[in-house]
Formats: sequence, structure tokens, C-alpha cells
Amino acid sequence: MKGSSTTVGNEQAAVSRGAGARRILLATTNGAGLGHLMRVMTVAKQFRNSHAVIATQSQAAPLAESMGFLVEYVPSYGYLRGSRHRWQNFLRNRMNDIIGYYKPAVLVFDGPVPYQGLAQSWIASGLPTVWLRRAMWKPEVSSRWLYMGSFFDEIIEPGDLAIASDHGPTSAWRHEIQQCGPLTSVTEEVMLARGDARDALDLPAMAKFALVSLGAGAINDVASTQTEVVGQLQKHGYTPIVIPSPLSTAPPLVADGVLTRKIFPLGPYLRAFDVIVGASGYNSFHENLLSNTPTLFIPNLQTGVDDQRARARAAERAGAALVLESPERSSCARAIKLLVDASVQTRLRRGAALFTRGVENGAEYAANLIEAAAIDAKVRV
Amino acid sequence: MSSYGQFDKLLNEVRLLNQRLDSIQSAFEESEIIALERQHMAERMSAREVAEAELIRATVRGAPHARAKRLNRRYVDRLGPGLLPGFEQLAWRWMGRLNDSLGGLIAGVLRRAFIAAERWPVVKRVLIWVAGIRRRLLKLPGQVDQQLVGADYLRELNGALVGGRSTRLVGICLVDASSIGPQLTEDLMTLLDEIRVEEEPVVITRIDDFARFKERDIVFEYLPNARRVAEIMGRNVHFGKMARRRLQGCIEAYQPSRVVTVFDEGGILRIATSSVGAQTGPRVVPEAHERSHRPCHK
Repeated sequence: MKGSSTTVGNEQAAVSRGAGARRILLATTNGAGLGHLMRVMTVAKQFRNSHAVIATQSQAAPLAESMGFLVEYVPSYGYLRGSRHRWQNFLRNRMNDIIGYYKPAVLVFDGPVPYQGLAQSWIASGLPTVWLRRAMWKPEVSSRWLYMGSFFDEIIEPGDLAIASDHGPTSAWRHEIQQCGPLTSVTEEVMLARGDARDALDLPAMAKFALVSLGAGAINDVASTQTEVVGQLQKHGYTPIVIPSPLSTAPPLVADGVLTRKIFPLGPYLRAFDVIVGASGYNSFHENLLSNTPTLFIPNLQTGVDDQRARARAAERAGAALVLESPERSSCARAIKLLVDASVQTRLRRGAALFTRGVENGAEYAANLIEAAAIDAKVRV
Repeated sequence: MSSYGQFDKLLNEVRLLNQRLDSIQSAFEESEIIALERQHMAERMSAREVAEAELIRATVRGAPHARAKRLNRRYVDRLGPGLLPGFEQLAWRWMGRLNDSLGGLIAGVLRRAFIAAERWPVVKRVLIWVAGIRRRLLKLPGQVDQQLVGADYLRELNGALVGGRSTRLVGICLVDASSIGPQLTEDLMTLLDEIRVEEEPVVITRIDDFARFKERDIVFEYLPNARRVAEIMGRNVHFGKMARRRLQGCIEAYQPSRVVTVFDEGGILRIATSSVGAQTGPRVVPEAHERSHRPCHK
């Protein structure tokens, strides 16, 4: 069972919509985790009359392909290194190439920084452009990239449950955007009940399982925290299940009594777990809370733009989750002790239910806006 | 006028007044937002950045000349590289000898034709047809068909990536190994490690286990799934064509000293490499793979 792999999500997202259907290019930046890629996939699944072509800098590109999308991988600056100016030229030319080949009707970008090379290519194409711009930027992040908003025909801000705690630069730029509900792959319909999820993951019904998913570890060291968390959970009789990020190149944690699973996407199976210890990136934050599973967030403080701390604290204030910012041994022990307490779990479940009450998935609305942009452009021509 | 008539007239005036107020308010709000944005810009950006942002705004929001420029660029991109400059040069060269203003006039007419093509599909079709003829006429033997392969997309990167990572030479491996098993993937990784002793490999691959390349710090390019491309493009796209397009682009960019093929159909590679004048190195086929592909008839 240890180290087994569950392949989920061969959903053939690019279902046959007829050969003549228009194409929509969705470009994403790399990012710390899978947030950008997951968001565009969530939206793309809702397209009614369009095919999605995903051009991503994320090295999780094969995952998107395994879910039925057409994926172009564009090596990121962070991976290629060299001169930034030349990389911008590379990006511009690659974008020109992709646009010239697929001839999309609309160009959608998900990421905080519309790179210069991308902007040059997209402006020259004359095609309608949409910026899928997540909120919750760190307050110290410069707002200069927000001025690039003027070159997009439409800016869509995916909803965030923690939006009331957003003090970043995007909070002052809401006059120009369309807002939609949170963009997550998890809805009540796709989320399996506890018993079904355990069956799917080959887990016994009676034991106590804790999900440990601390992010990609691409920009922070998660190994030591993971070891600490796993040890504490075991002390309280929980079996930790470690889900390594698809982006992680670190060797999986091997320890007695620790199970490892490779699951993607994880969302539908979250109810298999009694508790969750995870990062507070956009996806995991929303999915964990929507699953109504008691969660301890350990925010990744090394991200460039995403304010994981503010997001986690918002959930804590709402009584929907616990937060551990500095996972030293003593504080980790205290946090895990709270998390496994039955009365605290009941309180967290109630808090999460209240926090997520009435939240509607924004994917369909965002997809409609994007497809409408394609139709508008056709009418204008 | 009856009291009803007077009431109607009054109501009408109120409606008109209301409309005027609405339009004034929206204009005011718009100008206020723009002023606010400008204020933000002035506070946070340098003069040059402000100018750039203003240019982007003008281009996108459509000042007439900016829109014309954008449309021109669009048709240059769509009809082939250098089409509009080519026409302009011809016009200036041939007609300008006789009369500068005549050459300018023709260039202007051509420019307007591109804008007209935006409006009338017939003009667009004629221009595309003319562009096709021009490309065919001007294409020289051995010259890369840029429209087909988009080969210049990495040209400016030439040497830069290598310079950023290493000053060593680059070898490109075209790997069509989406269905190979773990043992053959290991063989390939061993091969790459051997290449790395002398050169910096750039792998063009179908292997979707990116972590393997990442942990070795190897530059890789990924070929999209050909079947999916065919489904979405609505026509049969041959995998080889796609591989050739990407390979040609990479050869242009990385200027490799040699190209090593692994599990590849040699024909595609030969066409791709010969068209850009790159030297093709030995075709490397791991023993296990060769065994599995040994002809079953004599």
C-alpha cells in the first residue's frame, strides 16, 4: 500500500465539441504550486463551445495533459536562467508561435505578472485578452504590474473566501474587474463521501488518517516541517498520509507507519481524512475548507506574491481552521494537540461550514465571460 | 395644451435631464478613474514607465492611429513575416525612383488595404493569396519556411540560455519515448549523463516525468500530444510535423553542435536539421529498443 499511486482525473476534459469549435489560449505562469494551472483547468472544463489550449510554465504540465487538455510547456525564466531580457524575447517568440499555430479566439492569462514578452506578443496579435488575476497579494508587493491591466480587455478576479483580509495592492483596483466565485475543482457533486473516498484510496474504514500536504517545496523547505508534523500526528494515534506535490523532486518521506499516495487531483478524496495539515495556497485553502475537514494551515511564507499568511489567519479568525506559522517543535506539538482534540474538531467543522456557506463555484461564470469575449470580438470584426 | 400634455412634456424634459446627468456622471467617473490611475502611476513609476503605460493604454484603448498600427501588425503576423515592410520597400524602391510621393502614396494605399481587410473578408482572402504567392516565389532552396515552423521564436535566445547555465556546447536529443518503460527511460537518463560530460543537452521529449530532468538540471522542451492537437485543430496533424516544427525552433535557438536522436524516425530529423544547416550527429538507439524493433521478416 505504501507508495502506491492513484491515477485520477482522466476526465477527457477536451471532450469532442466539434472540429470547428473556436480555441481559447490559457497561459499560466509557473508559481509556487499548482494554483495557476488548476484555475485555468477548472475554467476550461466549463467551456461550452470552445477548446482550451493551455500554455504553461509549470512543470506540472503533464498532469494537465493527463486530464485531457492540450498542453504546451514553455520553460520558465526560473528554470532556464540566463538573461531576463533574452528570456522575455524567448517568451514573446514562443507566444507568437503558439498563437500563429492554434489561432485562438481569446487569450487568457493567469498569473500576477503579465510578462513583457507575453504582453508584446498578445498586443501585437490584436486578439481579445483576459487576465485571470487572483487577489490576496502580499501588501509589500509593488502594484506596478497592475497597470498592465489596461492592456487586457477583461480582468476576472477569482473569488477568495479570505477576501475581507486582503490588504494587498489588488484590493485598491477592484473598480476595473469582474468578480466571480472561487475557482476550485471541488464541488459538492465531485467530492466523494468518506466511505467511498476511503474505498478509492484503499484505506480501512475505522482507522484515523491525517493528510499531510505541505506544498511543492519548490521555494521553501518542507521536509523538516513534514517530519515534525508526521511525528506529532503519530503520537496521537493518527496514521499520516503524505501526498508529495507533483512538482516536488525531493525523495518521498519514508518512515514507519507513514503512507504515501500520489493522487491528482486530491480534492474529491479529502473527506477520507480525519484531519488535514496543509499549506494555505489558493487551491488547498478552498478545497480543505469546502470539504469541511478539520484543518491546520501551515502557510508558505516564502511565496513571491500570494499572501498565504493572511488567508490562513482569515480562516482562523472565522473559527474555520487552525494556523501554525512557525513550525518549531514546541509550537507544532501544541497545534497538533489542538487539531486532534474532538471538541476542537467539532468547532472547526461548524466554523468551516459557516465560512463556506452560500459560496458558489465561479468556474462557469468565468468561462462564460471568456467565451463572451470571443463572441464580442467576432461581432466587432 | 391640456394638463396631460403639459405633464407629458414635463416628464419628457425630466427624462432628458436625467439622461444628461447620467452621461455627465459616467464621464466624470471615467475621468476620475483615469486621473486616479495617473496619480498612482506618477507616484509609483518612473517617467519612462509612465510613458510606456500610456502607450499601452493608447494602443489598446484605440487612438485611431494606434489602432491602425495594431491592425497593420496583426496582418503582418497573419500574412507572413515581412510582408508589409516588403511591399513598402518594393513600393519605395520601384516607384520612389520616379517620384518619392508616389511611392509613399502606394505604401499608404497598401496600409489602408490591410485595414480594409479587417472589415471585408474578400480583401483579406486576396491579400492572403498574394502573400502565399510571394512566399513561394521568394523562398530560396534550403531556407527555413518560417511561417510553417515558426522557427525564429527562439533565435534571439541563441547562446543566452547556454550562457546562463554553462559555456559548454549543446546537443539536442529528440526523444519520442512516451510509451517506453522505466528501464529504457533509465537508459536515456544514463545517456544524458554521458552527454553532460562534454556538452549541455537540451532534450525535446515526450517523457512526461519532468522531475527526472529537473533533478538533473537538464533543459527540456515538451512536445504536445499529437492526437489532442489533431482533435482540437480539426484536421489531421502529423506528429512528425509538430516535432519538426519544435526541433527546428530549438536548433535555431540553441545552435547545437550536434543532434542526437533517440527512438526517433530519422526522416523527420534529417529534414529538420538539413533545412537549417545543422549537423546531425549519430543516431543513438539503446540496445533494448533496437531489439524490440528488429524486423520480423527477412
